[in-house]
Amino acid sequence: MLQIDWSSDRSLVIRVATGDTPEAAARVGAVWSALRGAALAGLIDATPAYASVSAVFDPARLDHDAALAAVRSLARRALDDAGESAAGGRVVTIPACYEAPHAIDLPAVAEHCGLSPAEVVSAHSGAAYRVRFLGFMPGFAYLSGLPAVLATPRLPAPRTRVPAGSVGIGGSQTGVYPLESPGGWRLIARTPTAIFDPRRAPAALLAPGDVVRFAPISSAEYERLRGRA
Amino acid sequence: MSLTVLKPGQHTSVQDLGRPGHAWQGVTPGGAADPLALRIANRLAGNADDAAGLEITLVGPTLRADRAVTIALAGAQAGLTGPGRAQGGGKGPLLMLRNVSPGEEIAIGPVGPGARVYLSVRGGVATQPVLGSRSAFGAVGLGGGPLRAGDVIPLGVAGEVAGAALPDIAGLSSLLSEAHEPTLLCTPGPHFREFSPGAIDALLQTEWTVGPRWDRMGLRLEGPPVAAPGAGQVLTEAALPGFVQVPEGGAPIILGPDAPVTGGYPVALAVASVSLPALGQLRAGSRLRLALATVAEAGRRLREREARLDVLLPTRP
Repeated sequence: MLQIDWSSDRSLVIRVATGDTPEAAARVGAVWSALRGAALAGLIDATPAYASVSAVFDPARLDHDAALAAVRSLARRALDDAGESAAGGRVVTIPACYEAPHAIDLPAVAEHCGLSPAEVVSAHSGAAYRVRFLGFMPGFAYLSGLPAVLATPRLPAPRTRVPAGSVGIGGSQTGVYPLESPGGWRLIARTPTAIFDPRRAPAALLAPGDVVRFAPISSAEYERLRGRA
Repeated sequence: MSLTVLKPGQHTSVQDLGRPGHAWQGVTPGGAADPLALRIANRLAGNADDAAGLEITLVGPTLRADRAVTIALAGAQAGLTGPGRAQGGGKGPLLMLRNVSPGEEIAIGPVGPGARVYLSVRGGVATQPVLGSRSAFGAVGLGGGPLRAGDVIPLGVAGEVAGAALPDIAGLSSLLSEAHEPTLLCTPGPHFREFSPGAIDALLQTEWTVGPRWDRMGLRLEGPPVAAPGAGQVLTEAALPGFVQVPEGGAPIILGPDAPVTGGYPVALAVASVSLPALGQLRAGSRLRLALATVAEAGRRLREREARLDVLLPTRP
């Protein structure tokens, strides 16, 4: 599938699949990489999502017909070369402390899943996750690959304050809060690693296509790494 | 050189033209809600279009300059007071260029009927850029939050402005008031086809009122509910300022410059670039209409206005 439409007077939405599948991720990754590598006139942003990529142009210098033709040919070429599943991507290991006081909802998640807390930790840290895209807040990565057994509904009412670095489960998704914010996910761990740091380039630790693993650490190790950060 | 904040006003923040290019990192483009007014203030002050200024919302701040500075104001109407003088209060948008003496207080009163006024200082606001921009993104503290009393705002070094002709204030005033007309030109949004023709007609034929919940993230509109496509019809996709989302309840939301870069609600329409300045001037209680155009028509309207602006007030070399 390849369907390209103007989503505003300055942006094209390039839809490459109909669902949230590994094949969609591979096609999105191919088109996003091609857009980033291309020197398209007036292109100022390219944003991947589950099954689409958006290309944003500077509206004052935009020739709509030329931009659409250029994006269409670039996307066709990228999809011709794309594999069936997302390949490559950096492997990023995120240290995570699954112990008190950083794992406030671990007992509730374990009970919901019919597992022991240790089994939840083992399943969560044993899986490999793929970064699909970033959104919601700076540095927040939408990850695919949460083991189905760990799916747990969000809190009935969101917390007003979730600390930066909290690792949570919300429905069938898992992720890390880059910055302190309100949030309704179940918190099972916390990382001392900065997920978003504007002084760093790029500021976001994770990028679309990365493979993420969580490595369990003790609370003493958490404090040591945090002191160093 | 600096400006000291004596009173912050209701919500005053440092804004430039934002930080596009970082959406893939989850970072919103942000920047001035009315980019045209900021650019005009910058050009009046002798700055580049993308210099940082102050975005003043609803009630203006009181500021004091430590040196002689040249300031320019552009945007919605506002009362400007200084020792022994009061200006503004006329009809139409505010446009002003003024020299301020060392120690003189600049007090900007209530803003209206629009929402925002931009203050540019010759030399520009010189706070530390973050990810290529000085714009405050308050929700996460990027570039600082709203101004507070006692803040000291560093200013850049003002270059010589050689032989600047007196600007055509009347021409600029009519350009800005036309840009602020509350009929927002829109093009079809990313889920336009998922909406029924009746729902699109309802969006285009209703006179909407901005509800009490509005900020730089977005505006909620009040009016008859619009039939939204069923839940689960759209996957999370990239979102842009100006997207007109219709959640299940049927009350449209227009995204502002600080909205998240992705969203999961169906988007019927997208406010065209030429109408983003008008969007940035809407506030609780403002009435507005949405009008549909093709992307070609929206592009033509934007280029026409840009050409007119360049004639009235060229960028300085």
